[in-house]
Amino acid sequence: MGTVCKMSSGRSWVINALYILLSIFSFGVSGGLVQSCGYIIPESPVLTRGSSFTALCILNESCLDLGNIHANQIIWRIKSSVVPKEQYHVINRTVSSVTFNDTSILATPLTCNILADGQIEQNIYGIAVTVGLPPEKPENLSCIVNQMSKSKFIMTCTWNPGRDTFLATDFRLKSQWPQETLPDCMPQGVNNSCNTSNVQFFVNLEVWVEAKNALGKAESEPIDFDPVDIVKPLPPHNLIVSSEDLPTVLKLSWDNQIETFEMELKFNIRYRMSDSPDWMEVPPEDTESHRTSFTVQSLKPYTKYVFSLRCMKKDGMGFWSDWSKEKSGVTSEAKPSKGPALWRKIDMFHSPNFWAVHLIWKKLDPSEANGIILRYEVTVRARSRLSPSPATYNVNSTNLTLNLTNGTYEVTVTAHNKIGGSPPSFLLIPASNSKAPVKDLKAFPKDGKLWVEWKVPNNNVVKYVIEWCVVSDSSDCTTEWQQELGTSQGTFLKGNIKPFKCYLITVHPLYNNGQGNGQSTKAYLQQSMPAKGPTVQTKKVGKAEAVLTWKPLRVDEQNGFIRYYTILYRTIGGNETAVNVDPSKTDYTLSSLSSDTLYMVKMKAYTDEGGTSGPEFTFTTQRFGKGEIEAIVVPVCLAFLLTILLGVLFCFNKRDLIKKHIWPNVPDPSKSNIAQWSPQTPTKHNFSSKDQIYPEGSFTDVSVVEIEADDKKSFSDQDLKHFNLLKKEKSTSEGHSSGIGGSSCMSSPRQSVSDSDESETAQNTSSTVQYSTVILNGYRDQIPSVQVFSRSESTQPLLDSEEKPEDNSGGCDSATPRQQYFKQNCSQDETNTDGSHFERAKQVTPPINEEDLVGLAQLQISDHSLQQCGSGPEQNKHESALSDVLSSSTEGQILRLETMGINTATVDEIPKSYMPQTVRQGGYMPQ
Amino acid sequence: MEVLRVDRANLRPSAAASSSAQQEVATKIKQTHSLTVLLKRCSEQLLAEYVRHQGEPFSSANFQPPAMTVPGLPSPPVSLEAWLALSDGERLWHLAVAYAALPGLLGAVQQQQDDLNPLASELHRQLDAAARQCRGLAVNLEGLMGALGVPGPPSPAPNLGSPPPNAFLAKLRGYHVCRLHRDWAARSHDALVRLTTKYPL
Repeated sequence: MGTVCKMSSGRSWVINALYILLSIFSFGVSGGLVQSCGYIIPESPVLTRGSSFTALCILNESCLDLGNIHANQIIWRIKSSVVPKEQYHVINRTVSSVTFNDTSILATPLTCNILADGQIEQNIYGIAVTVGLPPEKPENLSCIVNQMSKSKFIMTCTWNPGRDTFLATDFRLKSQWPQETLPDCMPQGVNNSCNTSNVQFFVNLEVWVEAKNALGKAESEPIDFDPVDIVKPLPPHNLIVSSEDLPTVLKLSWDNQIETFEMELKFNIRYRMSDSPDWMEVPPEDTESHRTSFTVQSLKPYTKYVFSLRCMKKDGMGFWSDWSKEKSGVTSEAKPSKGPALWRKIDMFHSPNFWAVHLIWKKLDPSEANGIILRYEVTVRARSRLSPSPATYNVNSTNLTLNLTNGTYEVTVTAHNKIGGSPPSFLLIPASNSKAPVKDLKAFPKDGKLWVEWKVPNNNVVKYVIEWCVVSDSSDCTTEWQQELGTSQGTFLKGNIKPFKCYLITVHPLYNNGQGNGQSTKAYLQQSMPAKGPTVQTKKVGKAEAVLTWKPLRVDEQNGFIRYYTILYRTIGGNETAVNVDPSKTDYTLSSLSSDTLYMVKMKAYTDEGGTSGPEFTFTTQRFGKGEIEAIVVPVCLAFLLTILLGVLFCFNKRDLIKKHIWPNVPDPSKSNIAQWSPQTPTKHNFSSKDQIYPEGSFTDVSVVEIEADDKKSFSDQDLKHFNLLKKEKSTSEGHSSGIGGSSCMSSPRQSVSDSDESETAQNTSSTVQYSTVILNGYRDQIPSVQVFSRSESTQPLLDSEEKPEDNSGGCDSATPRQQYFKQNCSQDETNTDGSHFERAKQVTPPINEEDLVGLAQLQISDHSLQQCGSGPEQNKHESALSDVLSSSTEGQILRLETMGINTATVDEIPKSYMPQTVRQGGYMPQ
Repeated sequence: MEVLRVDRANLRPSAAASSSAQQEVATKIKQTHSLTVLLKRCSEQLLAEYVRHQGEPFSSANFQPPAMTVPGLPSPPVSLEAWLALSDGERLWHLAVAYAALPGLLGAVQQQQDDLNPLASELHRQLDAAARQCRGLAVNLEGLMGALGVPGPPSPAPNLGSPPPNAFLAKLRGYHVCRLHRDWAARSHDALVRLTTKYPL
């Protein structure tokens, strides 16, 4: 109202004043009590949902006098929402009605309000409206009498109460005997069932349900029954299971919990073996009569059975009781019904005549053992001998090892319990494997187990033995086995068959008189992806192809049958290419690769379940293919060689020209006029005086080789003779020197060479300067040799000797070099001025082989060459130093080593040194 | 003992009666017979239970009080021959009279026992059950008599006599009610056995 008062227009002030007046008036009328200005009919109606409803609002006359109030000012509201005016009907000045066609929209409160003059709406009256439904007829009434204890029964009746009425609805179970009404049963907290303990058997009872609420009452169809016919009795109790003498029966006894004068019962008896979940039932017709005991037959001996039973009224009226508590009992023992499954393993000893036969047999299944197996009796009878007496063994375990000699044996095994023995199991040892094997052996998983099946080879098979083991790289194949009947053509492997393991399964058919060859197959119970992929690598990489190789996966890694390999290879950033490869292969050649490209390759091994990749391997193809380099290099080389050859040929053809340019003609001393010169003719150099020869540092053209006594020792006697002879000759020519080139220098083909330039210059001057001066020391008075002198003056004889260079280097037998040598030795001796060396050489002639001589010859020659060719002062120095050594040393060994060193240095220059001689051979042109 | 004449012809199975009606009667007889068997056993148990809770001299093994009439409850014929000598209708009529009275008498005994032996729940249960069984038998007998054409007895006046002046007499009254209940149960069983043989299922 306060909000209304706040209206600020002038008109609102008037309304406000009027309202206050009206309020005061009403207070005045009521005498201090708030009196309503009207009321609604009906008051607090309970309405059926969906029906139509009309309410009247009647204004009091007294209120009308207050102002200009009329029933057409009435506004109906449901809660706060206004009811549309179309539903209003003004009956007269004081009465307005409202009609609802569907009461389901109604809600509490329904109010009657009046819009007084000036928009002020005032509540006149309000009513609570209850909308609901009358109860439906309860359906599906049914009753059951539950036995609670021996003398207490409770009847429970249930029904379907029908739809929700939205109203408080009272359900009660009514019952009556034909001429007597019984107390009603009132449901406790529910509306669809009721329990009563007033149960009287053998008197027909009629029950029905009555549902009642403010909108109506409904009754179910009555049902009529004798309560004894709807009893669910308590199950029998105190069940006792006892064994009898017979091993196939057990006697049950129990107490019923309902009196026979109340009802007689029939029973269901069920039982199962204690290790089986499957119940069997005694034929119901056997237990249709009231009883407290029953003997169950056709049981297995020495087997634990579990029993329970239930009951109901004998005539089938009512309900089965719950099953009684389970009780178990064990049947008596009986003889084992079957012999144990028997098999063998035979170990051949070193001698094939002795076997270790391991007899193995299976424990009997409890259903076959029929008791506790106390022992096994094994008999072994040799078949071949006449009237053999079988050997008998009593064994507690399930194996027996026999050492037998070669032969055929019949083995039987019987299992014994306290009642008796089983039928014998029979095995022939060794059974020849000549009989027909099974055909079409297959093994595959089935129903979560490994199934083996085969085709019968013929009809005479007594039984089959199936052996199996896990194929593994890490452990041996530990064989397990089982036996199947001769009629079977398949079996599940009994044992702990693991998934992902490869099983090798062998089936042996056994005949009465032998055994068939074992047939084998492999199988997996469950396959999986391989544990790892193959590690691939390249064996050979070419330009466009690569040979990949890998090791097959180990059996333990396979996890299944490898069906194929996939080789996946790609370049960096390139698409992957896959190639499938047969699992039997261990290498594969990738072709059509790009050259000089990095490839990544990996390999996947696939079983039926999927594939696993191995590690990735990278390789780079080669830039050039096989033979490409050769194809390039060989022609180039050939061309090069050809060029050289052509060059050589050219040079050869133009050798005269070349020679003219490179090698000036050396005049032939033999054709020279100097040959007619007297030896005393002084040379240009005038080396006649001994003093002139030996000044240090000026020793340019003279080669001096000093041969020590040790060297002399190696000379043969013949040589020494020559030597002596030479000495005599030298003694006559002492102090002379050849005016034209030294013969000793020219005598060696190598030495004539030296360096082309040097030798050239040397030879250029050879026509004018002497080659060498041979200085002989010692017996100058003896046989002054003309030949020697002439040779030293002429080149011709030297050239003769030079024509056999091979003799000097190889054999050293020719006298010429030796002569030279000796000559040089003479000079050397002269240097040393010690003739006793030769004497010593004569006396002590140590064995010296020809090689030493060669060495010496070369050494000497080399020295000459050095001497000859080394025209510079350094060469002279070297020579003088050498001569110093030679003169000072008496130890030939050292000298030889030193000269050897020089020798090697010279020998290196040999190839160069040959040319002039070749040229000379063609003819020496005198200058 | 009041003797009622019953037209025997009405009790004979009518040849005209349909076999289903016969079946119905036979079923009814069988049911009632079962109830009398139950009643017989229960009444014996009740008497034993009642005696057990009343103390001396009732619990004495050789307690044999002289027969005492209970107001409103006729005594059954002493000898079986005399009872069997009656016609089926007569026996049913006598039973109907007795079982019209017994539930009230047993109810009265239970009320007494509520005061005398409030903790004897089994006795109370049995008395309660006995009263219900008797009512049930009365209902069955009425139906059977209607089916067999035997006129029912007049509704008995609720005359239970004056309440016993002291506890002993109350116990003695109760004892006699229980004993009569047992005797009538035996007689009713005999009667129904006869009827069962006469109306086999």
